[in-house]
Amino acid sequence: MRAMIVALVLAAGLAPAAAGTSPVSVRVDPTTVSTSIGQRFPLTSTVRNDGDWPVSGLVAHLNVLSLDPDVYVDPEDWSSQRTIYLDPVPAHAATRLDWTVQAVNSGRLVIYVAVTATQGTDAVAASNTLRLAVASQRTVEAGGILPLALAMPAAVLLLTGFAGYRRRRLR
Amino acid sequence: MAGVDERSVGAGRRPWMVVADRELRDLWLAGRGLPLLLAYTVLLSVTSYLVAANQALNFLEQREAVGLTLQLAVAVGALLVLLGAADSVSGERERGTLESLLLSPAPRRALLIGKAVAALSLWAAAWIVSVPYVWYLGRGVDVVGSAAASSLVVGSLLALFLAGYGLVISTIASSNRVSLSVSLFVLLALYAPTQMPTAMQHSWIGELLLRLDPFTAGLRYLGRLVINGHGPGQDAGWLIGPLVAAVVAAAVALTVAGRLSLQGGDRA
Repeated sequence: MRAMIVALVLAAGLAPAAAGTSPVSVRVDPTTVSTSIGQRFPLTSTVRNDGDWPVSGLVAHLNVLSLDPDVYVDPEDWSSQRTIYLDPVPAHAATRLDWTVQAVNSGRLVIYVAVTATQGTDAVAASNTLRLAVASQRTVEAGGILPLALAMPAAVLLLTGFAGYRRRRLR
Repeated sequence: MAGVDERSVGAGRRPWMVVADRELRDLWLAGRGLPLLLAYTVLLSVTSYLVAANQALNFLEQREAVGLTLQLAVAVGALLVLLGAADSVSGERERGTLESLLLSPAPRRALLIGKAVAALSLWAAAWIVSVPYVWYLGRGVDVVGSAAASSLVVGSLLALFLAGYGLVISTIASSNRVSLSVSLFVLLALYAPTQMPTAMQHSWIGELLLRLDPFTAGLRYLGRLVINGHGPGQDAGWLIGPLVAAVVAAAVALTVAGRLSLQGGDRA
């Protein structure tokens, strides 16, 4: 009986917002971030239960997508922890979730958090979007490394040749 | 290596120093030391150039570029020590030069210490060679000092572990082929925990396995120091595995040194 009540609450809690019956909502902060590739930045999401019943079994999932069709995004690269299983959210209360994300692709991207329940409903509550502008960054000067990359093996090669020459002379 | 004569030992130098002197000359003037170092510098040059020039790799933040190169330098530099140590006794056995060495007045423990010093010199040379690469890649992000110092500490622990481990296998093995293959196989087995699924790695048993593997633990410590900008003491727990492995391997090698014989394996 209790399980049925929980299922009904979850189903009601995660019903589409358009129906006007969803007490569970999720919000992401900040809403815009400008950074450069490789940088890590924090973001928080707040899962709110505006209903009169506690809601349990919620799962939050972080998603990343590119607005540029030519950019392939693998969300696994952006964050090692993208799924959080929430503790029960009491009635008229909220839970704050902290995420750390590393910008791996450049361009215009969107991050959002989706919340669903482990059982009882197939509805998903989605957050607002975090609009992300990631500047590409050439981190190491490519031309400068070439002399070093050539000089080091050349120096060791010279030493090897000298050692071989010395060995032959000693014979 | 030629035998250690009594004049050298009687000239006031400790026997292990005489052996180390001979071994170092053999390794760097007539042996594989410089060719191995040449291959090492070529590897570091290719890696550094790719990190800097390749579009796919150059997305890395500069600290990550330093971390990637540093981890490779430490791992391969320590592996050079294993190659040197695993060949040291079984190689002499195969080349028929071990007999003259065993007839020398130097204690057997001194023979192994001298060989360990020569094997460790490969790591010392590798570290010196890696510094210019780290300096170039790390300019401007203030990681060169900590990267060089931490790689020296972590690499030295790994090198000591591999020197002791390689000498133990080489002392026991009846042939050079057995010594090298067993040494590399066990290293591969140690590497296995890093291939576990992510969820497994985050469990307590997964993390324990990662911390027990000296290579994984040492390289993670380096990564956190250089990439994440942590302080030297913040992740010092990751150094326990390499430290324990280095001490145990060195102690076992010194113990096994007493059993050093002309024929390894069951015939010892």
